[in-house]
Amino acid sequence: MSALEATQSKSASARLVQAAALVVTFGLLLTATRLAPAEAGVVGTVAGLGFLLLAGTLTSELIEALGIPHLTGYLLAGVLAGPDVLALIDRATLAQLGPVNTLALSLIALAGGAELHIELLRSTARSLAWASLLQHSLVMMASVAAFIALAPFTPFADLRPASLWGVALLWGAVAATRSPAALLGIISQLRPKGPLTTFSIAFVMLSDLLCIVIVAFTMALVRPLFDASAIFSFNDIRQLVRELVGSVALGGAVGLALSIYLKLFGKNRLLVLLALGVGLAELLRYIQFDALLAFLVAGFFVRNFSEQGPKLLEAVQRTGVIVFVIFFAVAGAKIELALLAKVGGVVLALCAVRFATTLLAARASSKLAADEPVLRRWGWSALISQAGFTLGITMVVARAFPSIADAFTTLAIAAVAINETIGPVLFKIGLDRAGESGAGDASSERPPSSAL
Amino acid sequence: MSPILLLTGLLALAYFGTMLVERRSMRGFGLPSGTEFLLVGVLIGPRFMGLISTPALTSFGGLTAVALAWLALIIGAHYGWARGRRVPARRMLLGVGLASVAVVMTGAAAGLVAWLVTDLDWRDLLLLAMGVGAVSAETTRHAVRWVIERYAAEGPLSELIGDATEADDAVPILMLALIATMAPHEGSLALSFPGWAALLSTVGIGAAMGATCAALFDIEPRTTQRWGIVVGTGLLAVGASTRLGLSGIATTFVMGLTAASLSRQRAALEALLTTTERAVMLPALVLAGAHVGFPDRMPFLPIVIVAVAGRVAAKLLAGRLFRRSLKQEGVGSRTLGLGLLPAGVLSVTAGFACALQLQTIVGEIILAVAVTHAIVGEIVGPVFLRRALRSAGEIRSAAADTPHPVPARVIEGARRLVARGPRLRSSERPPKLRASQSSDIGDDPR
Repeated sequence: MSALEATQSKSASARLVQAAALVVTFGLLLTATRLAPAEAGVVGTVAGLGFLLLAGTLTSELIEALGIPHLTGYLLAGVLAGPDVLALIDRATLAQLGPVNTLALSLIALAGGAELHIELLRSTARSLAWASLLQHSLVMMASVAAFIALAPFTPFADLRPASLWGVALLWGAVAATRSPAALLGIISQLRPKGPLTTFSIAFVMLSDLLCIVIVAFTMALVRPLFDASAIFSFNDIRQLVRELVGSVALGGAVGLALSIYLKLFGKNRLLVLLALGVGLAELLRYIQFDALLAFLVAGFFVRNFSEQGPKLLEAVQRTGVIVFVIFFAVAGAKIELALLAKVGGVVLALCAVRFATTLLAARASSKLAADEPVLRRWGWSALISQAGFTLGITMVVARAFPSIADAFTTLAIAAVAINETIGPVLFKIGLDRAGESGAGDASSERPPSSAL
Repeated sequence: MSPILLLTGLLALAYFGTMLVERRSMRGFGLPSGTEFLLVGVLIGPRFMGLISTPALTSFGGLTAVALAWLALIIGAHYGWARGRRVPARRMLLGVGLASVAVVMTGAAAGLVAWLVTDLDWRDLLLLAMGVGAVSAETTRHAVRWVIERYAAEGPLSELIGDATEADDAVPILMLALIATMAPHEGSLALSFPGWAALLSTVGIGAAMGATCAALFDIEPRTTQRWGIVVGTGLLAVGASTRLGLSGIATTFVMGLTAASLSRQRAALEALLTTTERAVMLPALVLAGAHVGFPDRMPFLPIVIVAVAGRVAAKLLAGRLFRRSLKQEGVGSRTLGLGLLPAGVLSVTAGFACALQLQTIVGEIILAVAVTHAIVGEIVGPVFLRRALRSAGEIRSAAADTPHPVPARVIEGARRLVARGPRLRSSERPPKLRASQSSDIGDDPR
């Protein structure tokens, strides 16, 4: 039974059961946290993980009746449980869930790479080229302009002009990023098929790669604007090249190893993916390669240079339900509502500019590439979401420019909170209106014996 | 060794170990109670080879507790069922009763010796007695099934032993719940529950999460979503109960029991949980083994010896009762009693849980006793069990004399050959297989 059929076929009594289970879930953790309020270490992390998984799943199922995507349900559960609302999950627990989030992001990247087929890239090459050019350049330029214009209302009001331009350029680079996690989360739920789905997958994955390069170049470019004694240095570029080449090479090697394993053994795939996600992500962090890129390349390699792509996709999709729930529920819990209220106005304006420019750039690129009408109309809908990738890029920027780190991170987190809330809804609407929802292969449910 | 490296290693071990265990019946190796990974852990632990350092082990304390609770969830979901049918109530009572006797005999003996040779206070003495009792109660069904299936045993005695060993799992779990109510907790996390309230809360949380799990599982047809439901409810149950200072293991046992009892999809739930068993159990056993030490701050050897002796006495008593209840004249009650000695995953799990919870010399001794039971049971149990079953006429002597009976696959292959090729003389024909033997023997101990 496909995801869509399964959820649509649920009766009112089933919804009632889910609602009751949600109450029990909230009630249990509420009781535990109120009776034992101290920071709970690993125990708190385990309880938090179980809660987010369960509450996220149930909330998403319940709000789906309203046509709202699952990701929004996961986020909502996280926000409600987070430190600013019910405080069922404290900040220390959220910090301890970091490795779980890294694992989730690695698996999402692997799934992203496995979704990218060379044929798909070829078939959308023209659209991709125009979209990549216009989306990145226009969104970046418009975001920079908006940031400069709104600077008096940001924490950067007192910066000298050169530094302000530096921050604005960095903001523009971050604004150009998209969310592969949100894209794949929606695809995992709706199993869509059609030109919009194809284009969205190809564009967002390619955009990730471009954004890594754009951000690194921007950082090298703006460094002299913050420090008068600094000069434009090729060191950042060299570092970037090393990181890119290394990540691609390692990703290729992992892809090769995965292909061989899938061909020769193919058993216990979930266990292998977990070991790979945990071990390799740690190794990549240690040698300072880009984990997202490496996993993306590994998935791409298996899909395109072996016959094992479907096996990998199936295995990764099976982890999807748990991975996406945890990733977005944790993201929801991390949303700082107080902070959002403080800088919400200016961030909302910046997001509005990004939204409008994305829409405009999508229309223009579709026209130039002579895309199908459905793409012309809804091609922008997958490009609004921002989530973990954007936050990761933000952290890189914050580490490189400590003088602006706190304020910059604050704005970026607030922007991600807004975009990750509305983005999935818009993409679901786009897929529904384009008639692509549920048109893909309903992933057949195999008996549980093959799960591990 | 860094924790991440250790985790990766454990995941790899779960992978390769699962493959190895799956094939053990074909290769003719592997221990009946499946505790060889325990010995691996002992070897690579900080007290022997030192491949796993103490800080790395400590950092995994929380995760290990979760793994143990997950094993209890699986045990709970299977509890009261044997070979696809419910265990009759009388046999449940018999199993629980005999396990309780073992708890009392070993616990009392160990407590008494500890009182004589150590200066532990009364609370520690009680915890020690309860912990030793908990790890001495069960006869592992893995070993019993290993013998029964490997030697194609069939008859009332093997059925009785199989049923009783399924039933005795509840006793160590109950003991763990009691120990959790008595054990000192980390300052602000602890709640001053009275003992009865703590027990009720444990059962309440387990039952609530089990009912939730069953209700959601039944209305959800997609396997992937079912995974989320089971993992989510399981983690929440163990996390919330441990946060309240209750026994996570007891909570998840009750949860598994409730979920399996209430779910209309019990078989699917059980199957789903079973797929995780080895992947969780093998790393947990290795970690348990790595935790094992030989305390040198106090004379622990007499306690271990007395605990083993007490357990042997309790199992001899059980053998006598089994013999009487079946009126099996040909079977020696001593042989039967020694055949009930195998201790396995549950005993080690209970010992390990005590070691993690108590974090004192008492916990170390309990774990050492559990591991000793596993080793002694491994050496003595299967041999005597086989002998008892043969005496009862439930194993054909030809099969029993074969040190490594021919694996079912080989027999199946030979059968096909017979069907295709020239007929063999009756003396050359492979023995007939029962239906239960047509799959890999030992592939899944359940």
